[in-house]
Amino acid sequence: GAFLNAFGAIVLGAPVGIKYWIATTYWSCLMSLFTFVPAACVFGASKVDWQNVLSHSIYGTSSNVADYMISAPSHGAVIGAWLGAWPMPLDWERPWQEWPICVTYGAIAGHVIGMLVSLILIVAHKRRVRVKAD
Amino acid sequence: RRKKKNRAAAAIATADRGREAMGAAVAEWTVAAVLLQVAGLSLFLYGFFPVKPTLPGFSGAESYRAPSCGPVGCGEGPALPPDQLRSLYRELSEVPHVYDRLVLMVIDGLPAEFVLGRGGKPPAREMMESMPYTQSLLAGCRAVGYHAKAAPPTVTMPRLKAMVSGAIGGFLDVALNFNTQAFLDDNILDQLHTIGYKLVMLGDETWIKLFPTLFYRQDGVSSFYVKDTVEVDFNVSRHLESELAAKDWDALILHYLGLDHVGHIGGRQSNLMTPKLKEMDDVIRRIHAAVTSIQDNSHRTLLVVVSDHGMTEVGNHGGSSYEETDSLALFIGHSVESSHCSPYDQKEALQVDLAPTLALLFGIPIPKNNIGVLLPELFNSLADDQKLRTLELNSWQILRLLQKQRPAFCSEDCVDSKDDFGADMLPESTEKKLCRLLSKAFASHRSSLLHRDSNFRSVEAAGLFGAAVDSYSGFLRHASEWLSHRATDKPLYLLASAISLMIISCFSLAGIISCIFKGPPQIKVEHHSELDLDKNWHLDEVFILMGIFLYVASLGSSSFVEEEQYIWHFLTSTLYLIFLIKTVQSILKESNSTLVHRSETKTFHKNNSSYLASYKLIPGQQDGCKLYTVLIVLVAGRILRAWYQGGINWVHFPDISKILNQSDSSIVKSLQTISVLAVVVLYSVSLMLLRTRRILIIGLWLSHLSCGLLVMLHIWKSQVDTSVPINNHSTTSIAQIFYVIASISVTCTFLLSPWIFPTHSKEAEPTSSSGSNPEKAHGLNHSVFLTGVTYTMFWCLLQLLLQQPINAVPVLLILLQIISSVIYFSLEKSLHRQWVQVVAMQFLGMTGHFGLGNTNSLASIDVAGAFIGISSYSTVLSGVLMFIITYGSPLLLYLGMVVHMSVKDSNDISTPQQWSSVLSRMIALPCLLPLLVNSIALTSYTIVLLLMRNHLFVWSVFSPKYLYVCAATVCTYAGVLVIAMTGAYTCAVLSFRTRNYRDKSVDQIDG
Repeated sequence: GAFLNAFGAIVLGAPVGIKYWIATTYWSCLMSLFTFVPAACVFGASKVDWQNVLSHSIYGTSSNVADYMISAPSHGAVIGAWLGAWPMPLDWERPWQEWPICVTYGAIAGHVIGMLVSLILIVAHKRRVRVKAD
Repeated sequence: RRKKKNRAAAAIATADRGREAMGAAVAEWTVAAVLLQVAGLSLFLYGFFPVKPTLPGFSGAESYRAPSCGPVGCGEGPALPPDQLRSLYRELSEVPHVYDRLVLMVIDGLPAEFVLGRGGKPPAREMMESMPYTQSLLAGCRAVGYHAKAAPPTVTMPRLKAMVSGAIGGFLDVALNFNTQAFLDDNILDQLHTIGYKLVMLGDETWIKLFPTLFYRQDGVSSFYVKDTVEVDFNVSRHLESELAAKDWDALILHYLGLDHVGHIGGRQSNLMTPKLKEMDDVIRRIHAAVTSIQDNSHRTLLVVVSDHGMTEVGNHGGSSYEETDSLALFIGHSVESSHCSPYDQKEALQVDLAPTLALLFGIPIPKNNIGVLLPELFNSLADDQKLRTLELNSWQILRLLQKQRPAFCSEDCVDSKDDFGADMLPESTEKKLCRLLSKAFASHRSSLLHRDSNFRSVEAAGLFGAAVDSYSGFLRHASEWLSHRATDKPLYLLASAISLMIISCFSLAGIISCIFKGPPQIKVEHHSELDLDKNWHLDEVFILMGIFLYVASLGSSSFVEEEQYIWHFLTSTLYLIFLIKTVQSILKESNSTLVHRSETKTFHKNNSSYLASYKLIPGQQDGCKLYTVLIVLVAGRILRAWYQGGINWVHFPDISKILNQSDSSIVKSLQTISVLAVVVLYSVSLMLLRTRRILIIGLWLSHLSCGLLVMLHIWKSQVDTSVPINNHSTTSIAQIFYVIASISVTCTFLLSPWIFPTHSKEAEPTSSSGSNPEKAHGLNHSVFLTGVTYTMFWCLLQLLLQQPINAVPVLLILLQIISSVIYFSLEKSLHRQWVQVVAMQFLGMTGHFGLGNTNSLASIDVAGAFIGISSYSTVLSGVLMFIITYGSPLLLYLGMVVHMSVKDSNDISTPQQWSSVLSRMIALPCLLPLLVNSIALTSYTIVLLLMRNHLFVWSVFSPKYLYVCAATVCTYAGVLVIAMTGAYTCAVLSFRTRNYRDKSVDQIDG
């Protein structure tokens, strides 16, 4: 997970160099904590589940609450990190513009938003299920 | 049987005609939209970068006569020798010249605030203490200082031009003469030169570029090494001793760059600033001591200390804030000395005022296009009528300029009206007001003269004199303001209409594309029922739309404009990451459902021979191949990004190109050689793919090989000859041979490739049209493929020839990206819609544009490459080459699009008779989408520019970017034209051949 994240980040332009290795490692560990660890905890080594998660977009189709709980925060983290990279090239010369600080902030914010979204989705889902059940 | 066939043909023909009509309509609409866009763009350019009429030539003796409209009879008098000219001027002017020698000391970037304070307050204490001598001069009323407002763009060269000519140039003036820098307009230095002054220049070499032949002695320093704050100034000051001792010069120009460099490094509060100001103060002290020691009647010297622009708090300049425009004009000489003064009053002037002031002080004609007004305090030593005369000369000169711009000023009553200037009614227009002011000034001048002649009642004379001075200066100030507004003001309604034109064209392009999308889906659905393209939006499509939106939004921020390469790289690599994810997803999905579908797909593959033929790979390898191609694109993009860390703010970041620049040149050479070899090998491989051994192809290969050899030869030659002047003969001729061979072979390919591929190679059943489908399709595809590959590869070689040596590997990387994405798209037909692919290619092109080290400042244009292979100087040719260099990557991608569409269409064609429909399907999207994306960018950026027209960075950031956007538009037009031409020509030839063949076969059957 961390390796995948690190690859993504470097490809997207994260600085490569001895100075930055540690930061990149920390960041990708954090990202994998947000994205891969929950999924791994739930799915374990089950190949089919992984494939399902990776190959389908689950919004609106899945009936499993756990799917929402896993995927929405991780998607949120990825999108947040992506958006968090935007202010990096600006010339404001603030300390937080350094790699990976603002990306991390973005990831955390995205993760939180994703959790909220998943909460809402779960509630909506429950209600729908209840309606259906009625 | 024949009847049947005829009927079928007729049916097909009607369908054909219908589709043809649609295609023609689309083409017409597109052309109309493009024309509209061009019209809007040119309107906007005309409105935003006004080209004001200027007076050509140099002012001479006629400037001492009152201006009259109509043809000037006398024309050019005989060219007088300098001495006679000097005495002629002095006689005509009726004003004695005040000074004999001039020392013009330019301190680059010194804000007037440092010396004169701000808002009537003296400068900060540390500033006072760091320039003790200057402050003592000011306090002792031996110097007079002005806040000389500089006009934007506040960068050195245009400001120097403004100082010496008194004119404010437009922005295009700055941007467009990067190759002819010599200053040709009327200016005081040339005027001084013509009356025999000897000029000496020490300092910034910009002066030498502006006046290459003028100086008697010169020593230029370069402002290139911004980090250096000591040596640049020492190189000027070391001559000071000898020059001040020497008596042979009449005008000495010193240009100190160090203070500007200090500002760029550390801003206004830099701790280097105080020592630098002390150094400047010391220079002023030395000069002043030297010139006062030889103060006799024939060596009256004026010391002028000016700065060309100010600086912001952080030390930048270029915009139009108070801090940047607040430049200094400090005059030290006998005519400004007075008994009482208040040196820290906010005395406002314009930077252009320097030109008429100096011209009148030294008894030379005022430069023709001057819009400045003389500074009256400099003429305190003159008598009253002489002062009036100087004002009159200045007014005449400005009146000439006004007459040139507005014929209304030509009417005699404007100048000579003796009517009611006492009745102060509000004049209706500026012209009328100026007229009134001027006639009032002339009249009071006349009456003042009369009074002086008749009797010496001094009170009345003084009153009249004061009135005349007031009215003159009123006229001058108003006229000057009006003229400078004409130079900088922008007609809003014109700009708005231009923008609306562009918006209309943008929308019509979008409409055409949506029409196309709506039009053929039935056909598409019919033929590609196997495609899983549903109506839902996919992640990549959503992303592209969002990315374009984000890009447009980022254009509004100056920092993002400066760092655009990050945005493009970010967007492109994210797009390809999404492709990667989708590929992985699809592979997983396939492996999920393989068991179910394998048999189906197998039979399907068997049925559709062309489908299978285009694959040539078993599915497992194919998946790997897809992954690898996307990975190649991503990794190559990352290396490209690392090649230039560029941008404008982060230029100092380390990157590969800088490391290579510092390292041994042999490494660069070997990298270049490797990339040339790689290009040649890639070309041969792609020709091998065609599996035909026609003479043309072998010839092409040979010519390409020879071109590669020539490029290599050129590389090695230029390595050997780095010491001698670049423009030697052998490299030039090599480059010329290269141009000839490349152009011939590309044209040959373009013309011949449709003819050589067999349309019906092994046709068993010529009558059945469906049987021959794959063959025809292959003929078309092969010829387009050949043409596209030839384009691409020759273009690559051309780039390798022209680009800077370190850019060789980036060119190769971009080529790799193209090839792998083409392969990827050809393998992955179902996952992405065609427009996604086209936009992805265009994104790649823009990323590559910045990957080649281009930025959004005009400084990064590679001017040196534009003269490769040009033996004599030609603006057009070198401009074309410069364009090719700068836009190498987007054009490469457009050429790659030809390859892409050849690979793309291999199984799209099932109704080969309808060449027009094939044509429209093949070229419509690759042509229209780039146009649309580009027009979105252009339109939104135009709006941004209009909104930002008063922004701080409008001249330093936004306007250069706008020039780039315009050039990108031209580049898009060129690329699209190539695509459309190739497609249309190939289709036309093939349809012609098919028709011939069909006729023949029908004849045979009938026979």
